Amino acid sequence: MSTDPLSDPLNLRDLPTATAPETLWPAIASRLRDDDRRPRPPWLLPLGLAATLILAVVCARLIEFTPHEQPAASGSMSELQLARAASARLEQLLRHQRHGLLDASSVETLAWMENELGWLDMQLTNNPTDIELWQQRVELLQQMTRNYERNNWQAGIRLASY
Amino acid sequence: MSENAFNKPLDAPCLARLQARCRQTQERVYRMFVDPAWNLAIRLTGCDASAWDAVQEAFVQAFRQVRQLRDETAFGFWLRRIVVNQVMNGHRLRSRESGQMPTDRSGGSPDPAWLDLEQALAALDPHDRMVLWLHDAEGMTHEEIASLAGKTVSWSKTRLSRTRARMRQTLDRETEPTPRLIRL
Repeated sequence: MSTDPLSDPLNLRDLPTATAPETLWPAIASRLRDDDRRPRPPWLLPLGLAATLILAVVCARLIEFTPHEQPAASGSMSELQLARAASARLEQLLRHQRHGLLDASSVETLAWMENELGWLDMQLTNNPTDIELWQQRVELLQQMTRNYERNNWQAGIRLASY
Repeated sequence: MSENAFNKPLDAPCLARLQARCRQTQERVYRMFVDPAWNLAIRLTGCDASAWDAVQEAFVQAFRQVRQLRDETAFGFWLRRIVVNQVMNGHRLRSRESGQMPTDRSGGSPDPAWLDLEQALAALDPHDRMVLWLHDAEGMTHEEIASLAGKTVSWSKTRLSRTRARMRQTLDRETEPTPRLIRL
């Protein structure tokens, strides 16, 4: 497989390939089944009544922050500065959205996104000027704000039907 | 990179079924990528038990987080990144707990033809082994490795150069003929 002495001078690609144990998939499938069976948190429904009020606050804040989303002098800012500014704006928006109520399926997705954000922040601590990491952070924050926003509206509609 | 075993694109319907948590699709995708994932984990950890933990956790995380993935063709390389992260998390955890890294291979007997290279690889420091394997065997760039390890590009370059030199030295030493005693 390996023929390029410059990219693989020790011929590591020619080492015999290992085969995964057959018992690995049943273990993974069992973990995934447990995920699917996980019950909805019992505190979700009682807290639902409070969500209408929180939703109203979140929407008000969203409207409040929308005009500030255009950078003031984007022409004179570098790509890194733009990414940092966008990151800070989205972070501010998220700070308010996080107070909203989440449904069970969104809790998991957003928890993973929060983990990913933590991982990115760890990378950025060591490479604070890495533009790709900043752009990844902005992209992730955008996904998170969209998820929070969608969830808050869905929670509001559900509560209205109670 | 085209020869890389992680470079197997999924199609859009397959990604949609994965995002809908279809168990059959999960198993099909698992079978597509499990051998490269296992091979990578076993080379990076040098230990069957650690590789098991890393690969299991990587697939569980990948299937849980697949809703975030927009490009179905990138699944393999995305999974590879998760496997490497899991291996690194395992290294961090074990080094915190015991100050040592496991390097024993309990399963299977290594091919004698590759014994020297396998042993030299297994004897490396986990970070050196990771940089060497990801660059030379997986074809990753220094930028990708540095990003995964949370280090700088020069850190990756220095590690690679030093590790290659150490490997060559070890392998040369092992292939040198044993000096004979001369009877006077």
